[in-house]
Amino acid sequence: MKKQIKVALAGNPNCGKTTIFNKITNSRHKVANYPGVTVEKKEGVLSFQDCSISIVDLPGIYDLNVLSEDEMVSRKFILEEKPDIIVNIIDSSNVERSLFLTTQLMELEVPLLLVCNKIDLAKTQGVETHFQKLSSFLEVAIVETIGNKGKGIDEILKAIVSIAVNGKVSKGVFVKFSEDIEKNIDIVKRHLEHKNLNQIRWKSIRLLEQDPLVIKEQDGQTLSLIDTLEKKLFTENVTEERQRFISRLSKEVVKRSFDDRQTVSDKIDRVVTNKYLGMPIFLIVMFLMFQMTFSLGSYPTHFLQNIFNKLTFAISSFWNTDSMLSSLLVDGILSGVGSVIIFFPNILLLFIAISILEESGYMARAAYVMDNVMHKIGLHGKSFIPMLIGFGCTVPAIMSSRILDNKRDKLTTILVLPLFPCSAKLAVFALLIPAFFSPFWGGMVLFSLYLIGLLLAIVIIKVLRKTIFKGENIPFIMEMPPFQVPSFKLIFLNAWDKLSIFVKKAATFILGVCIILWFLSKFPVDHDAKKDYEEKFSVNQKEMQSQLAPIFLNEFKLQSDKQKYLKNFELDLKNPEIKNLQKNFNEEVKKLKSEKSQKELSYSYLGKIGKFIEPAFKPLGFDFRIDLALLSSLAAKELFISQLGILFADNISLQESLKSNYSQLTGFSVLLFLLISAPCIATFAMARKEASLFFAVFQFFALTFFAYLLTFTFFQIGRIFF
Amino acid sequence: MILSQAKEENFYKLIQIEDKKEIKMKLIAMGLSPGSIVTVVKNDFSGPLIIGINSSRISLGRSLANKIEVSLYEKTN
Repeated sequence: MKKQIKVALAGNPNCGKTTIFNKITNSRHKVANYPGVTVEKKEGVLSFQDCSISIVDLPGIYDLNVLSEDEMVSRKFILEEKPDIIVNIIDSSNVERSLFLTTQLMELEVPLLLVCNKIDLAKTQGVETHFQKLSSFLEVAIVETIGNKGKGIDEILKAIVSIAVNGKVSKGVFVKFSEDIEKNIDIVKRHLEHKNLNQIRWKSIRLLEQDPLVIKEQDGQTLSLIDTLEKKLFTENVTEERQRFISRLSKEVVKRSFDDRQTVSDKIDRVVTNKYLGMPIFLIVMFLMFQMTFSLGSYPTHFLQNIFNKLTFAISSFWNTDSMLSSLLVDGILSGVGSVIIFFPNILLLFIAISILEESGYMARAAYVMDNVMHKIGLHGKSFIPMLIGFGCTVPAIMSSRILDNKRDKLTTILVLPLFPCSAKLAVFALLIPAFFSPFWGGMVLFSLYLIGLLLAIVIIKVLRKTIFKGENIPFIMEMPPFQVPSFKLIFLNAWDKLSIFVKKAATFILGVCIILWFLSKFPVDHDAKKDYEEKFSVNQKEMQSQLAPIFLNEFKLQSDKQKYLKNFELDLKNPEIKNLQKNFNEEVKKLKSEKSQKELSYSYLGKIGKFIEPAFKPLGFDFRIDLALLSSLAAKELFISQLGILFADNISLQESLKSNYSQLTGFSVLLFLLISAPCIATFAMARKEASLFFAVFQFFALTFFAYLLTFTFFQIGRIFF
Repeated sequence: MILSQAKEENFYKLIQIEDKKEIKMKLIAMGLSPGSIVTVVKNDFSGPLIIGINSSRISLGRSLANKIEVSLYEKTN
């Protein structure tokens, strides 16, 4: 039986933790992480020297005092999941700061391995650390690494195995505090010792620091003991003494040649966060992001569209008769799922763009630049990061709101996140906009949708901050990672990972829903409509025959007479009259088919549902087909396209059917409603998880109400003018 | 003087932080403890500023920077 080792990777943000994690696991991690900030733990399993090592990458933390919820994830894992070894990764160019967390981790009495990363960067910055000395001071093993070059990765694994196998437990040394503090710690410690608890030194310190999470676990006896002790300024003193311990230690082991050279990153920062240039640069970056998503995405999208058209034609000509299986394949699956798949290139590109922003370090600058704007509406720049991620997908955006330091900011941000159109909504826009607007106006319409979403979000935030979520702003503190050229391999893999979530969803959930929707749209079968269609068709057919026959014969006679005498003359039975008849017949059949499908649809379950809700949305300019598409889009926004695809399956191009069925005014009303209305199920579930059920329900209905109100106003006013 | 008045490219020694306990502790854990030497990478005298502590860069809101006392630090090589 292989030895199982559970390892937690902990360290400051930007210490290169995730890079090392990826190198160790070869990116074979189990939980796909959404783009953006690491706010959830990731797990990877690998075999090394007869051991099965499971490694968990935790969100970056500075200490074990928790302010925000991503930090909570790390703390909870370390304390509750009880890893066998904590691998503490240190940024060698900033040893002093990293040791703060290290000394706290050592108090947890879990075997610790120190990984000093970025030793190359430290060298170029003139930081020299005597690692051996540090190791013997702290009594922990140290491995030196250069994560992005993969140097030292094997050594980490060897060290992990040797700690686990040899049982050579090096838990490190504790920071010795001053006498007064130690005396109090001792009192609590002696009390806890009787209770057969572990990590008692750490628990004693935290109790004296009045850590609410540790206090919660204690019985009344312990609490009353704590009450009797002097705790005023305890935290301050402990922190200061810890800090002093570290700076004494650092002086011994770290040599820093004072370097006042501004780094390249600083120079870039001066430009991109400049008072006057910052905002224009930010807007250009945003513009490029969406431009890239659309213009680059249109080529593969057309390519996919062609493939699906050919596939549809091939399948339906294979049967050539009215087969239910053919209908399921063509009208249900290809029209439903296919119409979603053709927008995957756009979604992939958007994720790539967001990944680039994150990896290059620009994301933090965007938050910085937006801080002024966000401040005016009562949030700060950090809230902008979830919003940016929200352009990709609202679900991870809600998750990333964990980086926000207080509940009020978090709830406000989550509430407005659906107003930042996600890539699935973008796919719906990409279908609807070209159907109703010329390319020039299309761009303007798309831009105006994003703007309306943003303005609405601002209004909602302002109202909330003046009413329910009153209170002072908490200070803005954010680490700015240095600018770097992103690794394109990593970005592509990352984006591919995210897309695969959409692909999986399309192959399972969307496929399933499409089959159900197809069933609901075809059953019960309207035999009358079918009979009616066949009758009308044969009437048309006969009429065509009777009209065509004399013309045809006449034409044949005319041409064959010529053939008799003329050289090189071949029969070509085309004549304007025949062409005209042909065209009329085509149109007639098209009309009959659409009449038939309309009838069948009205007769079906879906049609009945649609007709039932139609009156409610009539004042918004929607008919029952749009209502049905909106209803399906509650499950996932992409399903809006699928549903319309199924409903208009008989026609060649969905966009053309939309154009001929609805006015521009209705088109924009649909866009507006879709932009604001109820979030999808996945968003609802995530809002419930991160906030509360009440909150998620409130968000669902409030947004739908807003959407209704605005679209109603828009459509009714618009009707006067158009 | 207060940090929000500090000039770009100068070095400053951090003297004290006047804020809530949690904020103070967080700043110390991020390396901004009294006695540490910081450089000002970016200060527009409006909006947040960016300060450097060793190799890391941290942006702080102006209101917070108003509560941090610093003194000019002349480095001696």
